[in-house]
Amino acid sequence: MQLINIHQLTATLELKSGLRIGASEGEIRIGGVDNQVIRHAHTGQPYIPGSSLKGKVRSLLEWRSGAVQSNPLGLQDLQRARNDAIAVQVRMILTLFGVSGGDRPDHADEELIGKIGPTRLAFWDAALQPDWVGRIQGEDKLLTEVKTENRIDRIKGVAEHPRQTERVPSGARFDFRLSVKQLDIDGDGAELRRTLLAGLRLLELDSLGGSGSRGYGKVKFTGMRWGDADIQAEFDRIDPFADVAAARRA
Amino acid sequence: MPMRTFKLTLRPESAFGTPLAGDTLFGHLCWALRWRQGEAGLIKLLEGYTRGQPFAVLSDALPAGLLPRPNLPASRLQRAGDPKVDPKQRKADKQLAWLPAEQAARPMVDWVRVGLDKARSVQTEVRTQNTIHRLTGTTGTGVFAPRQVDTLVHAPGAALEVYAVLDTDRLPLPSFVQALADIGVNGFGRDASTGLGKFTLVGEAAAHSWPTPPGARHALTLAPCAPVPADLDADDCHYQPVTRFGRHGSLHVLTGRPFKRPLLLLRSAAVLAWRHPSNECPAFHGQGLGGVAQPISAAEPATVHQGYAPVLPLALPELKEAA
Repeated sequence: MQLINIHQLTATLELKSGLRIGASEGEIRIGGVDNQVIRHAHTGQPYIPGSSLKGKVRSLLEWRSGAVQSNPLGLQDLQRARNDAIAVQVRMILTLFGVSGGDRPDHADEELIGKIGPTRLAFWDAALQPDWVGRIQGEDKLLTEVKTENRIDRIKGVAEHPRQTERVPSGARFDFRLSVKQLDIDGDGAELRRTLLAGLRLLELDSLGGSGSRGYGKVKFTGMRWGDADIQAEFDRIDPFADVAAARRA
Repeated sequence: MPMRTFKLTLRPESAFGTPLAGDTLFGHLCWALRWRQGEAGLIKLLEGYTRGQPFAVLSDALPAGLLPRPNLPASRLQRAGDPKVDPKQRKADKQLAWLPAEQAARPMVDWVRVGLDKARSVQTEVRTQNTIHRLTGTTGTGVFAPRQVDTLVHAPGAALEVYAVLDTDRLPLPSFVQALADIGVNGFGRDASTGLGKFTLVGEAAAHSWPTPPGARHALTLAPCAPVPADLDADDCHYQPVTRFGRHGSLHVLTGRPFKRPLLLLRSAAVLAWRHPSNECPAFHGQGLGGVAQPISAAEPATVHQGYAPVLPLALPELKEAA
């Protein structure tokens, strides 16, 4: 097994609605916001952790695979797949996103592990684009907004349990980057690339961060490049369910 | 075998889950070379590694232009006749963890007076992470319970320097730089696939040599080190121990036995005293650990660990001159 290439997928990740990825709240401030977003320790600017991106894309692909369960998929789920179409999808997910060290079955097939190999994807934390930060700060605005929500008592029609939630506002632009390893066992890497791009399209169709069912975290990728090649048009044409539907029909 | 020292500058592009220590970086280098050159290529490079013939010895990544304060007792930092140092001042001095590299040739007692605060280098940030229950879309208990993890965050624009002692006949500089760049884009240490440990190389690797102060009999280590007792005057070596509980990376994570045997090393910034000083300080010191003869891993007996460390000569007063 040998490394053939390391591809860089880059894009602008633009928010189409407010994004909330929560922080560890080390202190409680009087009059402070209840739920703060995660920020860079030095600059204080919000960012999107690579772990949030990776986890969400993986979980969406797991839902698409037909093998979804409560836990992230592992090697044993590949061995238990109900049919070949599902097994192909599970194997792509494990190849791209990796197999946990604690996930290995007692009598795992060494050959299977050898065929899957190491995790191909390395997500990067996504920082706000400096020109967007400059524009917002130039207009004396803040990099986050605070949204107040409450629950309405169905009978009385009055507000209860008001809470404040900090979000990165719609329109914010982040630098998205992803490293993709291509090994000699991956062939031309087209299958893995197609699965990865389908996962990112699913992210556009779903949401990132908290409160997605309430409209938070809608995102759009623009200016997507695979190395030096502009692949935005290809990406926009992807129907992430076409592959799976065709496999089910076969 | 020509061993040449190079200085490389790294720019952190994300937080780190694992400190950029020389021995850990060497482990990543081995994996990066294994993926680029195949297993046979790595095995060839490791020939002689445990017999004092390393192909590469890497330092910790240090803040640009700085070196770690040598691990020395206050008494060893005074000349004969100097007044006794106030304990409060001594503790304050210990916080000055970094010393300017360009002044490394100064006598030790003068060099440590120009230290810089350790808080300059890096901050710790706690992140909360969780695994989402796929069917409910929520956190919960067990594997779905939120967990907090420490990360190390460098200031924007911060630069780090790595000193690499290379046998360029076996590992040409371009191959080394390529491997280091691979580590940067794929991520270093814990949680590399989820955003941590990214860096880029800045500028070109530059050949480097340390100034040798006249009469230097001591050396400062720039990475964790397994010393060679026969070469050292133990009475005048100063160090703190560190235990490495190593763990395999990449494919070996899936062996079911990812943990290596613990290793006792000298923490970086140890001060070594040569038993037989010569005019020229060696570029590195230590031992290559592990290998089939003395395995440190049950999963992969051929595993080695960098017990070598790049060193630079130090001008310390002789013991009889110290207070």
